[in-house]
Amino acid sequence: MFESYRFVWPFLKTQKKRYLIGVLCSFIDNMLSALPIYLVGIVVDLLAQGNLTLKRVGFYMGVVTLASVLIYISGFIWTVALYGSYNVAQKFYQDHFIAVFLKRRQIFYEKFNTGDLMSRATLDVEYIADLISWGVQLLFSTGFNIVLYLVLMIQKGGLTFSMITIIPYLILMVLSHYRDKEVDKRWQERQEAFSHMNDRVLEGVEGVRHIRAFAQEEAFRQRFHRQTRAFSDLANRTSVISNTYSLTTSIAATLVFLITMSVGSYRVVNGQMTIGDLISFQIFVTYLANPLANFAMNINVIKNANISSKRIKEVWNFDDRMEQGDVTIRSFANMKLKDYSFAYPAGEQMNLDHISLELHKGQILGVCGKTGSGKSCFLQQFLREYPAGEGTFQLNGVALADIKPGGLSPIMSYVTQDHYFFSGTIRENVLFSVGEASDEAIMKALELAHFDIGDEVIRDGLDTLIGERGISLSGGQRQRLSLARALLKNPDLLILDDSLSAVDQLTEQAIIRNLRYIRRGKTTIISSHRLSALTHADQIVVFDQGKITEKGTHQDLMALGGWYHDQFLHQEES
Amino acid sequence: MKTIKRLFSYIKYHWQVFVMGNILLILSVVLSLIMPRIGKYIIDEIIRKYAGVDLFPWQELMSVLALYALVGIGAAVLDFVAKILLVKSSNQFTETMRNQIYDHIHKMPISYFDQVPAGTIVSRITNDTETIRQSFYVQVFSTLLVSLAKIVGVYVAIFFLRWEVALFLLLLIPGVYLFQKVYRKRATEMQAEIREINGKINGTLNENIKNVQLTQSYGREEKVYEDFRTLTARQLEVNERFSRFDWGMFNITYALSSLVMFMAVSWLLYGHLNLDMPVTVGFVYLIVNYVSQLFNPITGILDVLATIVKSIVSAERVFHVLDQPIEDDGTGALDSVTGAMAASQIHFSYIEGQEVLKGIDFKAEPGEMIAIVGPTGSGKSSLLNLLYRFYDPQEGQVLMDQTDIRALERNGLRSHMGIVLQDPFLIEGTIYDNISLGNPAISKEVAKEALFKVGGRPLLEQYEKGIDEPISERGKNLSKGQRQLISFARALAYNPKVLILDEATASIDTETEQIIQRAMEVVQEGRTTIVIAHRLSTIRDADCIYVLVDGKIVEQGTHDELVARKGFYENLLHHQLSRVGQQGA
Repeated sequence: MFESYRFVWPFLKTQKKRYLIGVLCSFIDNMLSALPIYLVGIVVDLLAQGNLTLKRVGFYMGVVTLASVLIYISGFIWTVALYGSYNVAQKFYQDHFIAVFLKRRQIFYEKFNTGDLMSRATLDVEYIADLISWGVQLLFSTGFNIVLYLVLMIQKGGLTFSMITIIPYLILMVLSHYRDKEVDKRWQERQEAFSHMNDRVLEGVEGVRHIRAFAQEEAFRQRFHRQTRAFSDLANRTSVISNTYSLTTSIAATLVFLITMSVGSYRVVNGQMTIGDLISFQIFVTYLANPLANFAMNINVIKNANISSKRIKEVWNFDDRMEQGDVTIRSFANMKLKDYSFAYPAGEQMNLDHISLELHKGQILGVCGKTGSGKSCFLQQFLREYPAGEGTFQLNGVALADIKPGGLSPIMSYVTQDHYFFSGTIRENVLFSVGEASDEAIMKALELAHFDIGDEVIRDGLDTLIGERGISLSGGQRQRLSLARALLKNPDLLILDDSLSAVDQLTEQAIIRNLRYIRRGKTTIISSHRLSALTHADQIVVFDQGKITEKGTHQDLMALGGWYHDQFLHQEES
Repeated sequence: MKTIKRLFSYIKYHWQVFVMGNILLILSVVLSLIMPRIGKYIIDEIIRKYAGVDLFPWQELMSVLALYALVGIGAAVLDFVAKILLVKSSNQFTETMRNQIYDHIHKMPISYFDQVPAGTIVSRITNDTETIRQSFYVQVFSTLLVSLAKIVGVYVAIFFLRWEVALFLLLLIPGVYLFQKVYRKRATEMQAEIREINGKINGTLNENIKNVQLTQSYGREEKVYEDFRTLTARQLEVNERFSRFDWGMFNITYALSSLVMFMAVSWLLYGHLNLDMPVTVGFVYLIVNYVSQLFNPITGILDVLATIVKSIVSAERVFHVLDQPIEDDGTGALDSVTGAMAASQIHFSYIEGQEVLKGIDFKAEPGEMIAIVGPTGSGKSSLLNLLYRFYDPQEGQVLMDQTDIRALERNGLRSHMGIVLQDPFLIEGTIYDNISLGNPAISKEVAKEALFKVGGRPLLEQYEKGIDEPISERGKNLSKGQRQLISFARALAYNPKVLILDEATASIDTETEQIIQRAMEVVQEGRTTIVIAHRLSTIRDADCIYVLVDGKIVEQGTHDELVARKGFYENLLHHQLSRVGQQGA
């Protein structure tokens, strides 16, 4: 029941002052709000006794006026303090979510898709924020209100009288608990009917050519009308049950009135209470209905928060099974693989099967093979998305598993097959790899990557917006831009994972020429479907079914007469 | 204002329930105003009168209380029924509106569907109407009407008790009006700001999740985190500003309610003491009761006004769709056709000045198979659009049995034609529903036979319920080949004179290819077939192949003739073969 409160406790602790002030002001507000009714009781008694004077009335009027001002002030403070914690909580949890997302690796992202993560970081956070604002308010302010009105009732009418009077309310609360379940069920049905209706429309819209081609507009019309009718029927039934809330509340209020008046009259007649007491009592008991109903209804806030806190914890506590090494690589000297094997956690077969390979500073390594041969899998080892495989994979003599996640980023630029950018300017996106650089350096990197900043689409040069609110780049432009981003960093180790597939062959060759020139003394790994991009590599490896089947320079492999040889000739031809 | 008027005009479709609901509502309000008067009677005429008297009239008290119970429960029940009726009529109005748009879009030209994304259209029909239902009809017809009835009732009741108190309370009306005017203006601005920043945060969140690998590979987590925190800080700032404003306004009415109530009481007492207008205890009780009933509906109305603004935007979008012109249709009909189709000198463009078809001629005699091939973007799909009259050409004509199809009623024309499009179209329902598409003229037997003929026997045998087996999620449990089979079976079951096949572009596995190949042969029998081909292997037997390049027919003839010609077709053929070879390697 209260596990969600335990979940939000760390946040609540940071907001002590806010809650202290908020709760205090809500007490003051509640008490002052009861004052006018209390005074009505007093003046009525004075009226009944004939002791009423104008001075008295004026005095009370003054008191109520002052109270109203205070009610406004205290009410303002506590509503802003308590309900405002919603916004603070939202920021607190969303910031934490981003921090978690930035730490997690691929296994995590395979388990949770983007939509799912989004809904947890937004909708579930909102439910938690509800608990933090409405939930806390419910616990303190509403709770206090109930206690306050009960105390006032007891003061005016005595304990037994008060208890008997509120029996209908108590029955009502129990009833609404059961009804809540029924209402939830109906709402769910309604939601389903709604999404059903959505599907039907989508069907009709996406299939419009088919429907018209077969001249079945009328059949689909009827089909949809049946659906809207079904939805209306369900909505009608839902409204019946949800309107029983006000029905039963009104009936309960009537019963409460009957009890108050019958018992009350008896007590007034017997001199156990004054007529003014009875009137105040009757109004207090009416006022009690609101917080009680609130209390019953807001139980949902806690229920939702319980579910949401579980969903959030599931994401926060997810173990992506990465080794937590502590070495950070600061410069690249060499790489050594011996009998290294790797399988994706989700898959069954070996994706890298006993690979042995050495690479030294300043060399270019070319990687090729069919789709699914394991070449991408090999390169992705540098991204450290999964726990390391078996066998030896060392960088500068340090095993992959001992390098901390992100411990390769100081030396590496990795250009993936898919190209990702942030919504923002071209400058911001290229700068992403380093943080700061002069416009000259950026222009130089763009030039080396053959990204044509003078293109007519790119109207504002480096300030051109790309992404959601900006222009959309072509596949080739995206590849070149992400290459420029990688080059700006001038890393010790540059990895191009089939990342120039969308640029034409001539441009690719020009880019490769640039690379050979500027990467002198630094290490580069290139994988490509176009073998012409690899001919100048110091070493070329061919992957097939997770194994290295051919290894050597271009001349070696051409002499070997294997897959590389055939493929190279084939590509030359066309 | 025009939009609101138009929303109200839907009352005319289902006015009975609506009027009934309103009558019950007014009755309920009247009864609920009688209740405090009974309270007053008990206080003044029973308790006060007989207090201290030995012979307390218990019986009278009980019968008055019984009356109170009757009135109270009566008011509650009437209110309940009234609200149900009003919600019911809101649902009816929305249903009518939904059906109207759905019917309307199916009368609109296909170009609308090509220009507006499917998601947007769906959203107009379901989401926008739902917003209208919840934020307009339900709010206006239950909350607003109920509140108004209550307020008017209370004012009238007080007026008859003490007109000067009622007049004093009337001052609240302009106050409330000004209040909500100020509030709404400011709130709308702030809410727009909040929506904007929320949208930004969602976008950034999404982007950050998608780009996480990039961020990690460059070790730039810190930057991304800080950027996000800057955004959430702005969100917090904007939200806090709004919440201060919102609660600042809300608390005014709250604080005012006690003050106004006590002021009314003070006035009564002043009159009692100074103006020779005596009041009883019960009278004070009555006024307190009425005045405190006034504030809930007033704040209720303020809330409703805010949501109505929201619904107007949706209503405008819905009405915009309803106001789109529908496509005009021909009137002619051909009772039976031979299946001859031809095109003469067709010129066509979607956008003026950008011609996609530049003078096309072709001819298909009854029972012939012709094929149209060409590279992507050559105009093949546009041609298909014209054959079906999804679009009309600017120049030239498409002829069916020598009649210009523009002279024909679309449905009549299309009833002679069948189509198999690239992506199989499946609906929610059984296999039979999918073959018949709801056409009652196609019996289960016909559907079954059609499916068997195209090679779907294994598919049916796989299911217990056979042809009545439901297809889940529009075919997600079927393979691509199976979905295509249903498409073919549909075309066969409709038994058209002219069949148009739009072949799949996407690469498909050999198994599926074989299934489709067989099905195609079956459905072609005995009818004119026009194939929009992407793979050339399927059309070797065509009676005539038209090669379409850049909106013009550059070559035509049989397969052998075109190969011998060593022109574009031969080149295309060679290109495709080599690509297949490469894939195999």
